[in-house]
Amino acid sequence: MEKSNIIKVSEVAKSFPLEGENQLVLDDVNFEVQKEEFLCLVGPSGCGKSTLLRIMANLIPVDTGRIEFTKKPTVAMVFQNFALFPWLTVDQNVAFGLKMQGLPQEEIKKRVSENIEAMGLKGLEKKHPKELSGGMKQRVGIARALAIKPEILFLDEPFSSLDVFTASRLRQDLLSIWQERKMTIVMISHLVEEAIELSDRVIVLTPAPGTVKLIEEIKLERPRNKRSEEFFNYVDKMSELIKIEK
Amino acid sequence: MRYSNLHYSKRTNAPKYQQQNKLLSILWLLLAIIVLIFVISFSNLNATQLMSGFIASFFRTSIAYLIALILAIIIALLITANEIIENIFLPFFDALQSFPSFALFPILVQALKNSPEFVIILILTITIIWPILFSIIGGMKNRRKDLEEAATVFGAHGIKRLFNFTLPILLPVIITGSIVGWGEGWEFIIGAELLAQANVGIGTYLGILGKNQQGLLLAFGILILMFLLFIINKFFWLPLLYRATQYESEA
Repeated sequence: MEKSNIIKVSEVAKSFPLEGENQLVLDDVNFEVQKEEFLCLVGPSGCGKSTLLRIMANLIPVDTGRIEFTKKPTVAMVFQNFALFPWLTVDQNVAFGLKMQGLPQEEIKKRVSENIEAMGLKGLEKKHPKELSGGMKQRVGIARALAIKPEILFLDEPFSSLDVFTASRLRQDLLSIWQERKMTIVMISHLVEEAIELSDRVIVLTPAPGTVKLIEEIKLERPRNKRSEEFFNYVDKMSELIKIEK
Repeated sequence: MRYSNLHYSKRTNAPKYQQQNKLLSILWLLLAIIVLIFVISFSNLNATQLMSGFIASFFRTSIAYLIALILAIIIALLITANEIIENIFLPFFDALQSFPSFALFPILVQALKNSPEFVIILILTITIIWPILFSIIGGMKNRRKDLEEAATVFGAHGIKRLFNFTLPILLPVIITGSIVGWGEGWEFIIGAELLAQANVGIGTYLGILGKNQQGLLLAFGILILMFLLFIINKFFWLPLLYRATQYESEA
């Protein structure tokens, strides 16, 4: 594995039992994730994006192949439907990972406070998730992930449950955080435009069984001009690829 | 103008109405206590015997409930940890719950002649455990996968996972199972105390009234028992259930 890479995915395959047979979801997936890059995985529904992300996050095992890390990293995840613990308040949710790490109370308090402020959640510390809007819930989800200072942040379609305006705002916040904190981000998106706006590289997966169809480096300056010809060229290229594969 | 269900729900959940509900509950409690004192004063019921019997029965049921709760949590977590174990043991426990626990009485009384307390508590435990156990098993099978994943990603393992994730997420089903189990315990305790010939207990007291053909006093005694159980339900179980289901996982 090259020194600048943090994750290497080699020949990963995964199947799930369906109606008595094994349904192949991922087949011979190979790619590498570079340190501190923002990588997006896109593809049609059912191509195994979420499965691949969960394999990389060590939530489900591979059938064949392997996932290698340069060293055992601290990982965190932001979920599509927020996955906030409903019995905990905002500050308790943000503190969850820190509590599991066994950090001292003062350190927990400090990090919770920092990340609540960074995500614009000040004043909502004692609220429960059911009292929050979707956008606020996802901010809590992101704050919870950032609190443990992850080296790799996995995001599973984090904006798909939000309205257009909230999603747009959160994307900008996420970009700022990524640029500031210098972590590696691997994100799943079903929106090609979103992937091109945010990522250094985009990986296009084929429909099930998912395999890597294209790895495209996005050579556009940041902040990305979403109305530029170059931006649309990337969108057209990848959309065409996904459409053809359908 | 008719309010829609949504407006009705928002109206009754408003702080002003919640406070009114609390006040009403306290008034009902005071009324119940006044009726209790009135009935005891004018019915020749031996208040000391009645209340000490109730307290003894309450302690027996509480001990049996705590044992049943701990066992139910352990068994449910063990069963649902592995699909093969679940497929073997779940049908077995399903069949076992239908076994009438009172059928064990003659054997237990013979075996534990000098320990009627132990016999009663054992029978109660066997009665109370089933609703709690199956409630928790149902809760485990229906728990949200993304919350499980979040707990795993953020490092909840072993004992930390049990106390910071598994038990909190199961709290609503533990309480609903407990309410049913507790109720069944009280159904059985009267018969259990009579059969085990306990020296003191509500069952023993009501048994004496029945034996002496004091029908009216027996009816009053049962009424008072119902009142006391209603108070426990109203001021302990239902508020607990309300709190737990407030923060139940959204689907």
